[in-house]
Amino acid sequence: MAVDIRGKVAIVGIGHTRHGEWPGSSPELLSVLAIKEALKDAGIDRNGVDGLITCKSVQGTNKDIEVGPLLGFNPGYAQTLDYGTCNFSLHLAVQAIVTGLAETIVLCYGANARTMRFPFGAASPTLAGASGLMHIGGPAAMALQRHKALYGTTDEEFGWIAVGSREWAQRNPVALFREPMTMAQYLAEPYMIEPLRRQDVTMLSDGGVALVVTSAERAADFPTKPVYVLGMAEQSQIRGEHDPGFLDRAWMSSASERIWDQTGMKPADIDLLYIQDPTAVWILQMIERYGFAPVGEGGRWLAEGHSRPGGSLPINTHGGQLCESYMWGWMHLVEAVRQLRGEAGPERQVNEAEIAMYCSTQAWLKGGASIIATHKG
Amino acid sequence: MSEKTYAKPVPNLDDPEMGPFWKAAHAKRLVAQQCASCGSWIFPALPICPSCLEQALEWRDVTPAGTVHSFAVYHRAFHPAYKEDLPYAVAIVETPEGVRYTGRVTEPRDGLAVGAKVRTVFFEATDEFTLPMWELVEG
Repeated sequence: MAVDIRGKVAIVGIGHTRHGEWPGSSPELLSVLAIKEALKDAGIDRNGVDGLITCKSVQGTNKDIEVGPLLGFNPGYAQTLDYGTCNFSLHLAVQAIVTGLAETIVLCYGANARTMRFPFGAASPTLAGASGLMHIGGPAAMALQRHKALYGTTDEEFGWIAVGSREWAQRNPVALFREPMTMAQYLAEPYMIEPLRRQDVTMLSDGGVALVVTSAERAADFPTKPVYVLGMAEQSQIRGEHDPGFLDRAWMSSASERIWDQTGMKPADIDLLYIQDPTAVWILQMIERYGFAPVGEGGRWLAEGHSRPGGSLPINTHGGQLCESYMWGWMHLVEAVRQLRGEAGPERQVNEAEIAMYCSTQAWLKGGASIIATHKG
Repeated sequence: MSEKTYAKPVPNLDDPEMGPFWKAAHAKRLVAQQCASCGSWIFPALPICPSCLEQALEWRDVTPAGTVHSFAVYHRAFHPAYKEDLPYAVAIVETPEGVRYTGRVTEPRDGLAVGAKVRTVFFEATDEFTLPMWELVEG
């Protein structure tokens, strides 16, 4: 029997460093700088926190025991997730808070993979690496190729993800890629890993992000407008490439069914959608698997303009990882909270947004979703 | 054999799990593990059958032909040694046994598509290292 977690936990603080390059700054330092900002936003100091959940960086560091010495305190509860994407980190925080392990938890991520020239996409000495399959864009391109073959999805339909993300990023002063890009310009760009273009793939960046999460009872004590967690679900595919359907990631539908069942909500109830996007393929797959468009119809749905500014279901209103910054999905929740608080600024604030959903994956291995709102559901 | 140095990644040919695959490839045979207990095919190699959890795995010959599950065409080299090959195609190929291999698709590759028929060719990268690749089958 599932425990009803609806409205029991709230996000009350958000913080992040600037995006781009932080030469000489470690993932742990960037985490702590982000935590300072999040605590300031939440109007508390370290004494008001009794939990820490860190997310390992893309580089493999940033464990709680590595952040602890810099952060200068010993919370009652400390934990590290290998791949938080902020979704799994938030889920763990909800579990810790509803079970009483902790009451107010700070979650963090930090990376300096850009300036330390982390070998993202390097060839591994395996059959795949020896065959020239490298970089996450390789299998992502294969997944898109299958989508095109099975459902007739076109470059232009798929291109609305990159073009729409750029349109949103133009409204976000801290996004790294803000130059205007029309569909004609997108289509004129060369392929990088066909059928993917450079604009369909994220670029490594440095920075830190943090959230402060607390119980609904405590949320009223904070100066910020609380954003409540209404639902969460996960599904793994930890068999990886040994699962024959690993490229198509149909298993995400299990997390989808669970989150809709658990909340009693449906896709039409969502005002804002956030999807972690190391490549644009993730967005195409998740809008289908979470039920925003029928499987195979994602391209057509995108071409109708739903996800773009002024559309019926804005997606990644900060520009996502394609345009804002590669922060392993963490900035997606920061932006969702900003929008729900009504603090996204005049250019990109979506009016009357009350409910947001965030979907993310650990590549081919794991996925999850959260629904958050301005009310307790 | 060319005097030119082979600069692309070379797997550990003596790897405890995958070594038999590379040894077979050197002898121009395509193989995968099959569980003697439940008959499941397994690739890449594992130390136990994930279907029945028995350690009864044997390396057996696989049909050196199959269909393209999907493919990608690289227009950028993420490793300097691949620059000379651009653009090149990599596919996941499924054999009639249901075994899936990642591999280069050789030129010419007109007609390469999801579902296209291919067969194995063995590329002698070095004196010790042979890499299975795939060529399109007419029709």
